[in-house]
This record gives sequence, C-alpha cells and structure tokens, in this order.
Amino acid sequence: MKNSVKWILCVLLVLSVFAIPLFTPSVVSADSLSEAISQGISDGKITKDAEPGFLGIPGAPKVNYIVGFLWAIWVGWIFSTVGAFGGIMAGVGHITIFGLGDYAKDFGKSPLNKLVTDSIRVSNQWLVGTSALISSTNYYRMGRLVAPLGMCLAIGGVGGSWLIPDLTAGKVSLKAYIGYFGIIVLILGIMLLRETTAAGQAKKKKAKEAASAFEKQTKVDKAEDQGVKIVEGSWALMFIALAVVIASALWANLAGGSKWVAYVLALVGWGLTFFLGTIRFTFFGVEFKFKAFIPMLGGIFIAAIASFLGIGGGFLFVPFLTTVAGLPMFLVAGTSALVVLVGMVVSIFSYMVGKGVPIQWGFIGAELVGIFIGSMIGPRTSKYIPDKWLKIIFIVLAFYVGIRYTTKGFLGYSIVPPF
Amino acid sequence: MDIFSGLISGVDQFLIAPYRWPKNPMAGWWLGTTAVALWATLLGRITMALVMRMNLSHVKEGLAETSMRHTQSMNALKAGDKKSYKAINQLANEAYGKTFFLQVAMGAATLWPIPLALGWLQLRFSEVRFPLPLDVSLLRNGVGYEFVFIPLYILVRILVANLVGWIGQFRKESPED
Repeated sequence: MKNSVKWILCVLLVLSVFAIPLFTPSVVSADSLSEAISQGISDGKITKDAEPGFLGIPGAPKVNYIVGFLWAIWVGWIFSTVGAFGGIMAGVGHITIFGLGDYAKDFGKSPLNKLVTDSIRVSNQWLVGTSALISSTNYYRMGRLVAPLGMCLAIGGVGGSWLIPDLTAGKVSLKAYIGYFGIIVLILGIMLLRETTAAGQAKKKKAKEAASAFEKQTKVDKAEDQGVKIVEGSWALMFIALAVVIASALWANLAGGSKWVAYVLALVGWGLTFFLGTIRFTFFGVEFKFKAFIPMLGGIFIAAIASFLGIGGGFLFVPFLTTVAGLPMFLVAGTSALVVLVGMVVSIFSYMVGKGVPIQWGFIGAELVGIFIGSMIGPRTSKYIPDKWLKIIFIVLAFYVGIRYTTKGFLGYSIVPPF
Repeated sequence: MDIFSGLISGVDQFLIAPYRWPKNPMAGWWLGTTAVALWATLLGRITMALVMRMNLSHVKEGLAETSMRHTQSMNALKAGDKKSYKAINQLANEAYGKTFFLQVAMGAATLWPIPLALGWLQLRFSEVRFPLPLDVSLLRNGVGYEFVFIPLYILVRILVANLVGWIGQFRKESPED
C-alpha cells in the first residue's frame, strides 16, 4: 500500500508541473505536418483537393484498418510462438503491407517523405515502448531489476536515443531506412539459423545434460538471499551522471538553439561513468560484478541502433547482458526491459515533441487489438507445429525480408520477387 | 468512411457528452478527459482478464520451466562451474524468452484502448495546445492533448487498481452470511 501511495504522489507531482499551464489553452498556428503538406502542394506533388489519407495528407494511401488488424494478429501469433521476431514483423507491416514505403518514396527527398518515415519509426516505438512498460512493471514487482546496471545502461542509452534521432530525423529517407532495417533482419536470421545447426543443437543438448546434473542439488534458499543486493557502487555519482545525460536529452529536445550544450552534457554524463569504478551485487547468494563504463558503452551502441530503426533493441540487450555481463536470466530480462523502456520514452519524446512527428493513433489501437488476439491463438497452434519447424519458417522469412529490404534500400531494387 | 471512422463517430456522442456537462469549458475538458481515461482503463482491464483466463495455463507452464532452469543455473554457479552456468543460463533465457513475448503480446489487451482514445482526442482536440509554465517556447507551441491524457490515464489506472484491490480485501474480510 505504501508503494502505491508513493506512486500516486509521483504521478501527482508530474501532473502538477503540467497542471498550471493547462488552464490557458491556445490554438496552434502551424505544425510540421501542415508545413510539409504546404511544401508538397507548392512543389506540385500533392493535389490540394484530393481525399485525405494517411495522417490526413491529401491523396495519401488510406491505411486499411482491416489489413492492419489481420497483420497484427499474425504479429501477435509470432510473439506468442517464436518471440522477438514479432517486433520485426510489426515493422514490416508498417513499411510494406500498408503501402506507406512506396508512397513516401514518391516524394523524393522532400519533408513529407521524412515525416512519413519518422511517423513509421515512432509507430514502431509506441508498440515496443508499451510492451517494455508492461514487462518493466512486472519485474519491478518481482524485485528482479539490477538498478545500477540499468542506470549505467540508461546513461549510455538516453544519450544514444536522443543523439540518433537528432542526427538522423528528417535526414534519413525511407529508402535508406528500409536498407538498414533489412540488415538488422538479416542479422536476426543468422542468429536464428545458428541455433538450428548441428553444432547449435549439440550445444543445447550438452547444456541440458549439465542442467540435469545440477537439478538434484536444488535446495531452497532463504527468501532474503534471493533478491538483488548491491554490495558496492557509487550511487551519488551514478545519479549525477544519469541526471546530466537526461538534461542533455531535454536540452536537445526542448531548446531551439545552442545544440552544443546538449552534446557537451551528454559527453560529461558519459565521462562521469568512467569514475564510477566497479559495481558489485549479490543475487541468490552469488556475487556478480561489472565495470560501470562497459554497460554505458553498450547502452550507447544499442540505443543508437534501436532508436534509429524504431525498434526496442531487446534482442541486442539480451546477448549483451548474458555474454558480456554474464548475468543470470531473470536479471537479464528485467534489466533489458527497463532500459528499452527508458530509451523508448526519450526517443518517442524526441520525435513527437522535439520534431512534431504526427501519429495515426487509431491504427496503433487496431494493431494492439490484433496483437492480443494473436497472443491467444499462438499457444493453441504451437501444439500442432513443432518448435523446430517454427524456427525454420522464421529463418526463411528473416532471410527473405532481410535480403529484400537491404537490396531495395541500398540498390534501389529487390533481388528477390516481387522486384 | 472506414471502419475506424465509423466506430469513432458512433462513440463520439457518448464520449463528448461529459465535456459539455460543466458550463466552464476548462472544467469540461478535465471532466471529459478523465472520463475517457476511465473508460480506457476499464475496457483494458476487462479484455486483459479475458486473455489471462485463456492463456494462464500456458504462462504458468512456461514460467515453471524457466524457474527450473534458473535454479539449475544458479546451482551450477554456486558449485563454481562457470561453463555449465553459462550453458544452462542460455537455456533459461530461451525458455523465458517464449513466455516473455507471450506476456508482452497479452499485454496489448490492457493497452489497446489508449491509442484509440488518443485517436478520438486527436479528431476532437488536435488544434488545442497548452503552453507550459516555464517559457519553454522552444517547445513547439506548447504541448498537445497527449500530455494531458497520458498522465491522467496513469493516475486513473493506479486509482482503479487500488480501488479494485481495496474492494477485494473488503469482501474477503466481510464474507456474506
């Protein structure tokens, strides 16, 4: 109950900041969408009186909600059977299935092309961000978050997720975006393929044998030993570094000029992490330690890619935390969900508030309905389709989508049908 | 008119009504938006309960496997066998990944009303902007309806969760005769 009171107080505090001005609303003059539309009309690329379509742009394709809904059921089904690949499929839907990719390309390097591209990115981020929100809340309840690790990742991630939209929003055309998206899908395909090879299967078999050897030794630990306990770590400096990086994001998004201040703040925040030294904690009575700057560097890299592509980056955080940081599974899942959430919030804020990128909300709503319906179908069909076959289907799909997007993005044509 | 626009115009009269109850338009804005947040919360809770009911056994099954692998990996680590720990941890991650994404997809059941509510607010209030207290005029023309609805939704959700918890506890403590 005490926790809930704390939560309510926090929300009220945030609300109070916004409350005062809300009593004096005003009418907006012009936003980036109407500016881009006017430019399109004056360039002769938009017919003023045409019927409004996507985002209310005259003559734009009308997004078909039924197709979106059916596609989302497929995405939900993938999420509940194979996992992470669902996020990629959501992106494929936004780019190809709804015809937005081809439409945006018609505008060449105009502001409208960039606005549609950014809108697709933010639509993906809303889907990822909401799912990260759900899982982070669950982990918070279970006490399975390594706060200092999450913070160090976030110090890198927050900077990375504003810097990349800042450096690329309005500059990356849809064509290039599709190309980079394709590369990531290919990498995922290769990761999946590795698991199904003979070597991958043998490794798994060995792991299962090792697991059964340790099964007998299972004994129940005392409840107090099971949670995360921080043994060593400089909290004060960590908070300062995080605050400085968040300040850099806010400055970059809210301040019109003197961008260099934001860059300096981000660099200072990152620099401070090098003075944090080693952080040690125990989980289930076993000690873990890591150098603070390593997750910070990982955070920059992962958030940069995730924010650029409008994806969560969870599939990059998980191998990073298991392989580089050597963390046990429960901590990996919770910590990466938290970092994805922080990154997505900053990134969505950057696009929507800083750059005024519009969103077609109704469409995201229809997609979410499809996703949860798909999630109810998945567990029921997986009984009939073996795990191995599911993986093979997705490897083929990942290679097809990856090759198609990469070649279309960088060569201008697809080397796989339809060309 | 597409399906979404048809649906929206169907519920429009219903959603806009509370905005018109108070004479003061600002009071109407707060009342109406709170009502929209409440509807979004309640609809989300109902669909989530439905999905949970359908998928609970699958989630439990996945979590049991994950938990078993986790215990095995921690045992390996305690025994000082780092190589086995890494291998079993990988298995635990894989087992968990499946349940994790299943839960993520299920989570959409609680969140779908939010974008639909935002879509409706966009149709009705996209022209209205709220200037911020500090002159962050650098922020393009203040903030829009999303910045009122999202915090308000979070607040309503917490209050509803507490209320439901409180009612549940109350019913437990005073069983019907």
